[in-house]
Amino acid sequence: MIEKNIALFGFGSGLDLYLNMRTYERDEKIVVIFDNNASLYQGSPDFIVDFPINIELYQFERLFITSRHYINIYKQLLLLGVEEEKIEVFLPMIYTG
Amino acid sequence: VKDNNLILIVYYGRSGSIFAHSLLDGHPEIISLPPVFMYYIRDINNYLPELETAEQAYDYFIKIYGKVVNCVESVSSQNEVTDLLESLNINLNSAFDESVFKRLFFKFYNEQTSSLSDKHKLLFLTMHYAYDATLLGYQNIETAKQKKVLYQLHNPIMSYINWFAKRFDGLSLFQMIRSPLDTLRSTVKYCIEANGFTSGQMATTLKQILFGGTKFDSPNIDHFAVKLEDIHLQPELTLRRIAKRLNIRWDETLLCSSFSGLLWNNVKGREHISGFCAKPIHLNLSDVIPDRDIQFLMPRLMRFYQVWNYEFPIFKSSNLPNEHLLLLEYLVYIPDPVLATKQYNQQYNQQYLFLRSENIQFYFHYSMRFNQALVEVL
Repeated sequence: MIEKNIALFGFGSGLDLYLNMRTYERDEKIVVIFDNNASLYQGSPDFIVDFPINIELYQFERLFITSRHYINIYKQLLLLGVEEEKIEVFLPMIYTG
Repeated sequence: VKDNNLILIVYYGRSGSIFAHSLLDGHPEIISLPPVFMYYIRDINNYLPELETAEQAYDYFIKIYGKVVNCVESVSSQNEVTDLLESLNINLNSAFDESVFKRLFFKFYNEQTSSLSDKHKLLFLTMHYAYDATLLGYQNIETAKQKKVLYQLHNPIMSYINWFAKRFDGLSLFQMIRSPLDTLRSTVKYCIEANGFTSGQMATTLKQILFGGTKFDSPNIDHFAVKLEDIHLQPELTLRRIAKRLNIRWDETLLCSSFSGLLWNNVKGREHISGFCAKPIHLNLSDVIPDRDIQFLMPRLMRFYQVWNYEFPIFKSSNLPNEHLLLLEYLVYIPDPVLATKQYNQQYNQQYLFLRSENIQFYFHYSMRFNQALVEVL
């Protein structure tokens, strides 16, 4: 199985839900989790957490926004030069946000 | 399809999920509470306290749902559950004996404590088992365990579905769907008739229509959709298919709408249908969704029509700008669209400017490129 490199944005309850819903092996590898408050991260040490300003340092095929502030983050990512085709909002953020 | 023990029913906007529930209710292999228990899962996720003992669990149950089991202290109380009973036109079974229910609740609760450490799952199963045993007059929990539990989740909120998926070995996610523009129009009209169409309802309705039919992708969940139109036009054929998919035997009760052993009719009104309707239920959309709005919405809904095999509405293809304002956005602020049609149609025709919320702007933008797989139709 070839893994796809993905990035996430947001380490709050949306991230917990994203990880929680991985009830089976997905063919993806989380290369980084971005957050505007990256220095406050206290979650699992298994993940690399970084500020979005460093986004050019990482290679990923898709980026899922796992935050309720998905609209502003979407705009921020576009301003940072991320191709729109790569950006996806983790659906529960829209549907229940 | 594996043998699933829990069936969740969810909607896609206003699409007949309560109707579908009423058809499955009463099947001898299914345990089903009336659809007012949909708040239970929300309470668990939001603020339900730890329920450590059977007494605490029962007290919680009676406080919220007492009226449903004829609890004497709860009969006169009013809360969102009793409001829902009224709005769904659900009659309560006056023969339901709360003292029997209480005895069976404690019996079944205690019989499961050694095997179930999750208190919320324990309460969830106990209230279903005790309710069914009281209605049908059996005493043995093993009888209940042979059946499948059917739960009206209603809103397909993924975190709630995930809550169940983590606790049940196999789960059938039964989603009712309907032609998207019919759903949109029906939901808006329903809101207007109820209390007036609010901006919050508009955002929620658009979310449901644009994103609500997405497939829940997990091997533990058998997610499938049933078209409301199929149930109406070919009831027996469609219900036989549903029975097969749910792995329950065919039973004539599937053609009968009921809750808790009582026949059920939908609320009365011009926008409501009770029972099966042999005629196609295509709606005249134009009072809420005029042609230009169909032009605007169809590029965003095209794949729903394709994947679910719905006939496209007739519309002229044109490139309306993202800023095009829908008639339903003008309907938000008026109590009765019939009275104000002329005035608001004029404003709509002139595209009288107002600021569209950021959320709605984003839904319309993102839905143009949203391409997650949709649930497949049975």
